[in-house]
Parts: sequence; C-alpha cells; structure tokens
Amino acid sequence: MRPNPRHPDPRSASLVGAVDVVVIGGGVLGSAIAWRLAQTTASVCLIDREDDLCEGASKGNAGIATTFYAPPGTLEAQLIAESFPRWEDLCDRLDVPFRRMGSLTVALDEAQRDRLPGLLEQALAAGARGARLVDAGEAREMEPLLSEGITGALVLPDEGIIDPVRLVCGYGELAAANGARVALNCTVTGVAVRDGRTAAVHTSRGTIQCRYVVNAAGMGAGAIADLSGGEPLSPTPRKGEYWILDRAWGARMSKIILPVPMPDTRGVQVVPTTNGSVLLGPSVQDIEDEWDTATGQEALARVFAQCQALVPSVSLAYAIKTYAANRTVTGDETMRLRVDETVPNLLQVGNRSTGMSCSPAVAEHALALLGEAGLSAPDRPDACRRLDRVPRLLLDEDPEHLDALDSRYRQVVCACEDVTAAEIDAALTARVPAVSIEGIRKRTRATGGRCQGSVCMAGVAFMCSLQTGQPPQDIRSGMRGATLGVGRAG
Amino acid sequence: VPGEVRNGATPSPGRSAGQLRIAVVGAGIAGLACAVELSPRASVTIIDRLPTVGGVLGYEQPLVREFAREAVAAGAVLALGTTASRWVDNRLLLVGPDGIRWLTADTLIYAGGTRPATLAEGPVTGSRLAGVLPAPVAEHLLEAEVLLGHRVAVAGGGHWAGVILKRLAHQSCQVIFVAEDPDSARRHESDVATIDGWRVRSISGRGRISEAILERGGQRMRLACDALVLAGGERPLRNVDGAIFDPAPGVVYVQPHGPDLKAADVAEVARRMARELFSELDGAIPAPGKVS
Repeated sequence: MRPNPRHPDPRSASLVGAVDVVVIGGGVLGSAIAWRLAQTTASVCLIDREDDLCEGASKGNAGIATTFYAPPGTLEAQLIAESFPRWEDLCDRLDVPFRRMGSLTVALDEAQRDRLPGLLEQALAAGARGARLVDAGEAREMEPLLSEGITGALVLPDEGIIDPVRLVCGYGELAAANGARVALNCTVTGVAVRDGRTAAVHTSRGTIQCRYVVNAAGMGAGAIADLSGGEPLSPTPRKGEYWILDRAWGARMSKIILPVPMPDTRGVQVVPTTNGSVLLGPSVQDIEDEWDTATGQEALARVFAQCQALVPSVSLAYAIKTYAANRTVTGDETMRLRVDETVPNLLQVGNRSTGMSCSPAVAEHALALLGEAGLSAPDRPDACRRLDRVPRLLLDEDPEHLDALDSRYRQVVCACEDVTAAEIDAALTARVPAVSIEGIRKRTRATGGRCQGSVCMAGVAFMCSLQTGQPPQDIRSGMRGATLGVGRAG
Repeated sequence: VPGEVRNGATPSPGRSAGQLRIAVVGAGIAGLACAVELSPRASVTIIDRLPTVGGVLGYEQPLVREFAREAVAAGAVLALGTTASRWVDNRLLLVGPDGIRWLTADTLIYAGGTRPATLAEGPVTGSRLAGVLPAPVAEHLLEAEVLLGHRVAVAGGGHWAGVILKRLAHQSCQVIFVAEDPDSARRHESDVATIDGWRVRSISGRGRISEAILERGGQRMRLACDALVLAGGERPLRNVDGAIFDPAPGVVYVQPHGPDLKAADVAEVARRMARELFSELDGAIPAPGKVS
C-alpha cells in the first residue's frame, strides 16, 4: 500500500491518547461538528462504526438545501434560517457542488391552492427570503415541465441543491486537514463515566480519553446514550424509496418540485441533483430493521404515480437506479441539539429530515454549547478554511486546460459520468480516502451513471486494489463489509 | 433487425460528400463496417475507449481485422484508447493519450455497442448488494481470477450470458443459469443447471446477495445464491453527452443487437446504414425506413 505520509490510516490506526472532544457519528451532523471544532484550539476525534463517512441516513439525503421546513419559532427553523445563506461560501470552501435553483411547492387542486397562503405566511415567518405565491401560468413559466392541471404554487427562491455526500466528505476532509483524528471501522464498545461525566470512549480500536462526547450517532444514538449513562433515546428507522432518472433527462429541469405537504407527510418530490440526475421520492414507511434498505414494486409505483401528477413527462424509460434510505426518527423530536439531561459533558445531536440543511448552524451551536459546558475553544488563526479543488471533467466548460494540469485527466474511467483517473486518484489519496467502489462513487460519481458500472466498475475496483494493496476480490462493494468477490479462483 | 436505430444527419451546407468529416465512435464490428463504407468518400476518424479495435468480439475476430485494415487503407484515422465524451454543435470532445481536444465533425456515427440491463431497467427491486455484477464487470473479474461466489446465478441470455457461462465453467463454483427465455437456454447448450423462462424480480441479502426471487407468469420462486451476474435485457450503450437519446442532432446510431445477430449480420446492417447516410447526403435516393 502506498502510505499517505500526511495522516495515519483512518481505518486501522489505533486510538490512543486524549482529545478534548470525541464526536461519535460520521454523518452530516457529526462531520460538521468535527469540521467546526477542528478550526479551534480544541482537539477532536471523529468516530464512525462504518468504514467510510456518510454511510447512514446522510447517504440517502435527497440534497435539498431547504429554506422552509419546520414551523417558525422552532429551533429547527432557526437553524435552517441561519444555515441557508451560507451555502455558496461554504460549498466553495469544501469543493461541494451547489446550485441555488429555487423550489416550487405545487398545488394540484382547489383545496391545495387554498392552503398556499397559510404556507406562505409560515415560510416568511420562518425566514424564507423572497417567498411568494404565483398562479398556475407563472409557475409553468418557471418550470415548463409542470402539469397543465396545477392550480398555483409557492415559490421559495433561495432553496438549493447540494451534493449531500460530498458535503459530509468535505466536512470530514477539512476537519482532518485541521488535525482532527478520523477513526472509521471503529465501533464504540463502552464509555467510561467518572463522577457522572464521560471520561473516555472505549472502541474496537482502542480507548481514547476525552473531556466531552458528542453523540451524533443517528440510529446508534440510543446505544451511545445508554453506554454514557445519559437519558434514554430510542431512534427508529423510517424508510424512503426513490427512483433516480438519467441526467440526460434531468438536465431539462429548472426547479425543485415539491407537493403541498399533507398533515401526515411531506409527500413525494421531484428533485434535480447537482450531478444532473433527478430523484423521485420518497415513499414513507416506518420499519424495524435499520439495515433494511430494500425497494419494493408497490412503493416505487406509488412514488412514480405521484411524481407524474406533478410532472407528466417523467418516464421510467430514464430510470437508472432505485434505492431506499432510512432516516432516523426519535419520537416527536425532529431536532435534537442539547446537553444531556443527566450527563453534563454529553451533547445530544440528531435530526430527522433536515440534518444537511441545518448542519452549518448545528456546528456553530454545538461549539457554543460545549463552550457553555466549559470548553474553551477559540478559533485558530492558522486553521485551514478551504480544501483544494479537484476539477471535474464533466463540469468543466473548457476541458482542454485539464490536460496540462494532470495527465491523468486523459484517462476517462467512468464514461457515463465522465470521471477521470485524476479524479479517482484524488479520492483514493484524500486524508479520509475512499477505499471501496462505494467510496469512489460517493466522492466522484464513478459507477453511478446510467449503465451503473457496467463499463467501469471493474476498472474502479482495480484502482482501489492498486491503492490499498488488497486483491480485487477483497475490495468492498456493499454495506457491512461485503466484498466484490468471495476468494480467488484456481 | 431488432434494436436498429437511426436518424438523419445534418451536413454543413455547401459541402460535398467527398469532404465530409465523420466521427465514428466505437471500433467494434459495427463502427469498423461503417468506416469501411465511408472512408473512401469522407474524412473518417474512428474512436474507441479501448486501446485496440474489435470491441466485444476482440481483435482476433477475422472480420474485425479485415475491416480495420480496409478502413485504414482507405484513409480512416484511428483514435484508440480515447473516450468520446461530449457532442456539442458538431464538435466531439475526445479524451485520450493525445490529450483533451475537440474534433469537428459533420456527422457522428455512434456505434458504441451494447450492455446488459441494469437492476432499475429490469426492473429488479431490493437492496443494493455486493455480489450483483453487470456481465462486463463479471467478465473482467473472472479474467483476474476473482471467485465471484460459491453459488453464482447468471440471469439473462444472448451474448453476455454465453461469455460468462463459458468462463464460469472453469471456476470451482456452482452455476445456475436463469434463462430469460427458453430459446436462450437452448442456444447455450451447456450442461449448466438451467431455469427456463424465469426472470429475476427482486434480490435480498445483508450486505451480500443471498437470494433472488424469480417470477414466471404469476408464480414466484426463491433462488439461493451469493452472486448474481446481470446478463439480460441487452440495450444500446450510450455515454456521449449530447448523443444519449435518439434522435440527437447530427448523430446516426448504429447499434444493431439481438440474440440471433451474428458478427456478419451486424456488419451488414452497419454497412447498409452507412450507405444510406451517403444517399441521404447526396439527396439521390430517399433512405428506406427513415425516422423523421
């Protein structure tokens, strides 16, 4: 294996010594908190049980940077309002694709149209800048793909789309650049508690002393709270199923399309993504097994029918993938950001739906809450605040100049998404490097296009193999450590 | 011929056919056959991702070698190991050992071959699981002596199933061929355990596939397996932006496919389509079966 001289391997280095803060959970909230803390004088360690960042609910996020989701006056609404003006700057610093394209909440009948003024009032009160109502004609001018049968819409011009996985990886990468320890493949086995305070975290990779613990473990938050002697939490999984349509079709969409929310559900959305594809979903189903990410014919058929009502030209002829993502539900608590009721140096952090949209503000508030709990952590003037940009062949208007930058741009590996060897090598040699096919897909899109890796997956596996020194059959290709092959022939 | 797709070309006005610049994407049998037909009268560049001609048939195929020699002798230029990436306003972005550059062309002949259907196209529902591999990926891994599974299901038919079944015969694993239609089972005439006329509807497992649910008529059946090779539902492989969906301006698609199509048949279809392109451009004979 080619060693990365800058950093210990996040997946195998033992955990020893002490830090100020251990953050448990490498999803969007845990990674954001680690990113923010790493810019201060506090030392931080980010732990996740999976072998990559962004493997839980955050991986299934649809990528809408919302401006209006929670009722005005709630903590969640405040965090969203504090976060959404920051996306241009933050995504630029973290090398994350972002587009503030605006959304339309579309009424399909008279009853729904009658609910739009109430929604507008709430949106404005929640801080959604520029929110306004438009009639059917104007809505269809803004998004010509909308059905002729619509009756009006609420425009939220500041809503945007982010690559939600790249955001988590960006938070983690900049945290590591600022000295945060990142420990993946690392299961928390116990928490040492002294005098009612957390004092150390025992893991499958060793024990690390700490002054504070942040529990951002998503579905694992209940177990972490138990081990820490904190208040009981019982998160349960809620499954959402999606279709992904080809970016060659998705390129024609100009707005995020949302239905008028129902009392019991937000409904099915038509969401363009930063890579050009379009998501149709989600269905909603409370389940028991957090590992159950199976899609089903019935739910997918329902999702499609509901999207067709909004955008009649959606067609499954352009479907490239289906998937299910499980979000974390903890009773009625949609946003959790507070010190534990019994353990004064344990911060409880979690969110059901808008974790990504809240994440920059959650990171600021977490720092403030830790400060109130006694952590002195001023910003370091020398902290790195920007990641090096990795140019992407697909997005480059003037691709010829990439040739001079790095000759590996001459080698296209994934032809559907135009991902070059230069981009894949950047993912393989990052501070928190990809080591699996899934890790490469998350950071570069390779194998995620319309042929779903038919052309490039073997090449991607061989590149992982060369970089990690593992034989191709041992390269991870699925969740829970599953590998590409089961052994070597002959 | 099933799967044959094409549309009209848009030559620059005032150009005679002799000066046409034609980019052929794909140096498989279809692309080479087009190049043979076009090169004597046009300036032809043949582009392929792989560093050699032949595509799925490989360079050893006699027809491939014959066509490659003939096209090059007639003036065709090869750009191998080069990916055609975008088609914008009669310019094709080429990315390869010669650098990243735009090639101006009056017509793009897209002969990019085929691929098996994805899970979503199947449609096959279920989880995203390790051990589920598109046939071309399985082929590369088998070449690298990777044991795909202990009990490998190959679902589909046609070219890809044939390639994979042949290679799996040399591995120490159980193989089950889920033949999408009984005809494809007969064509392979192997001694592999075959399940006729069933289709994979869903897959399940924890991390790795452990079971495929098959369907025929209204019936369902479980098939235990720890690998599933997707080798069915052959469809055109499209990955040049601006030339994804037919019709696209300036693009002629030459991707004939079907379970009974032999190399010589593909070549014949391709040559006919290339000739029709010239007759269209000459304005002499209206092309039969033209898609307007």
